Amino acid sequence: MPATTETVVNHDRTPAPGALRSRPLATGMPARSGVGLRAPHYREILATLPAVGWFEVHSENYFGGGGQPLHYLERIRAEYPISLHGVGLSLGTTDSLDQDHLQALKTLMARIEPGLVSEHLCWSSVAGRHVNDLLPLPYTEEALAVVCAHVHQAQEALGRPILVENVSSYLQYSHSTIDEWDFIAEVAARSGCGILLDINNIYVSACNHGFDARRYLHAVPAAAVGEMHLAGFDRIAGLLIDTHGTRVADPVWQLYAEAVEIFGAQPTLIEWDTDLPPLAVLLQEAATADRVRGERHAHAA
Amino acid sequence: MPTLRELELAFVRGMFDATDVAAENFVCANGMTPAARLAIYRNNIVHNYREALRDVYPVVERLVGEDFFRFAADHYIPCHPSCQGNLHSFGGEFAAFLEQFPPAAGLPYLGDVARLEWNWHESFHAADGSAMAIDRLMTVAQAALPSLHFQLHPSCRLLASPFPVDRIWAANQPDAAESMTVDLSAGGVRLLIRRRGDAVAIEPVDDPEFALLAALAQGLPLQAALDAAQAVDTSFDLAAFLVQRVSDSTLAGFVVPTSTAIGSAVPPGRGQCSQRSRLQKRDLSVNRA
Repeated sequence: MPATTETVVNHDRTPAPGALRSRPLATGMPARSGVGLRAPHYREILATLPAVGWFEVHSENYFGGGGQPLHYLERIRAEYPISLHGVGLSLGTTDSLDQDHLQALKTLMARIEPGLVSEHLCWSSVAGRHVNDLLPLPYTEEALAVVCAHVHQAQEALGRPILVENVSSYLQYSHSTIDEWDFIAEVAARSGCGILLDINNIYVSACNHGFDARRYLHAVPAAAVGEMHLAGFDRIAGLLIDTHGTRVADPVWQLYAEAVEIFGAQPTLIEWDTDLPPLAVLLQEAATADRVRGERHAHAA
Repeated sequence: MPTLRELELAFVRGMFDATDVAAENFVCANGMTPAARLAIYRNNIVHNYREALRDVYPVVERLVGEDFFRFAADHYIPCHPSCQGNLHSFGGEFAAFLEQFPPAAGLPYLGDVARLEWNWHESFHAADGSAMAIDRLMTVAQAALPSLHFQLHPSCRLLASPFPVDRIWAANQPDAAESMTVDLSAGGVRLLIRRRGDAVAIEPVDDPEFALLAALAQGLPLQAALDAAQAVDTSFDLAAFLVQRVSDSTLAGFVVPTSTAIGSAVPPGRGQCSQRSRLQKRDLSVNRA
């Protein structure tokens, strides 16, 4: 286990009805930086055991149940905490939740004992057809009820609270009646889930839709935030696109520093999914996040 | 104002059919047309599926080239919906699609190469099976052996092809020798695709053994599987098969059926069956000695 002297996060939630609400969001997750675990880096991580707080994986990459993916994940789990980050549960679908998908996640959780389990505030399937992408929801009372019911079902099935992440978006619906920040706050309040605050996604959506990213940060209930994400974006044809293929941009670092002042030190992930760089680059970005967090947290305290 | 269901249905239709513009009515313009905003999602989705197919079918892509592969993928994607949130499950019908895709008709082996790559992909991700001890098999009463249902290791896949697809696959690996050539007239192959340790192995299997493994994979009892093998080669050596395939974990377990099932698996009065049953027992006793 790499040396970790920082506080271990233990997000005890405000007491509320329901057994799940008394369970912590995070178990054994250090309030340090982690990086996304990708197959080309498995061997180097095991050989060098880099000084990073934890790793995050896309849960679905390990749904097969065996072979090389799980072999390496279990070996890395023996050295580091792991966060399971789902991309396919489709919490906002008007279909019923896919019980096989939930069961596969539950089986993986039993095997990996993750420190955090998260999904996205989005939808990705309807009428049995999946698009395997994170599509934005209209922010309406109807959508709020659908998402809360599905978060509740998922948490009951999995036996622990999950974190729900804000996605970046390239469109808004004309019939939305709720601001995104109020919508995610309400999902957390009603379902007892935590919030995975993706700072890059807030920045990307703020630029694309012309809202104030700081207003978003200040509207999110601080007690619900259990993890943050940082990633790079690209500018394509006048829009910012959440490509996860570059370093974290300067304005996103600034927004992260403000988020640390508001939400305190949280486990923070460097996400990088396309044009994967050498592990050293991810570790540099993680070290930068550690430094920014350390400075701002000390400043805030 | 659409219901959430109406919105989701219209959105997904428009992702795979650009002429279906119903979802545009629900999207704010705000400096960019709704069509352009939806097109970003359409492009992302199609790009993700193309990349998923490229990940699973690198040999097919190498055989046909990047441009043709993309052309084929773009025809496949709208007509073969993903039905799971796990992207690794996408693309399983690509082999059958390629066989029916007229522009690919000049490469009759392409479908089976794709089938081999899908089997490889499934084998790579399959669950870990537990090893079966040969000792456990030896504790089964002789009379029960014909009715045992053997389970293949979860990573095992079987593929028969009239083309030498294993050699085509090997010649198109990144580390293949430049000089490696494949004689397409060399004849067909029967393959067992399975994991050895963490690595997927593609292994030729002879005809009677393939018939037996295929019968076991269909859930047939040992007697029926042995019948299938001996229909190909009457001298098929069951004992040698069992020793090899238990020790290399191809056979990961077996189920002893109820006594009723034992009776029905080897019905009395079927001479052929009982003769084979004797053959099998003799083979096993050789092994035990």
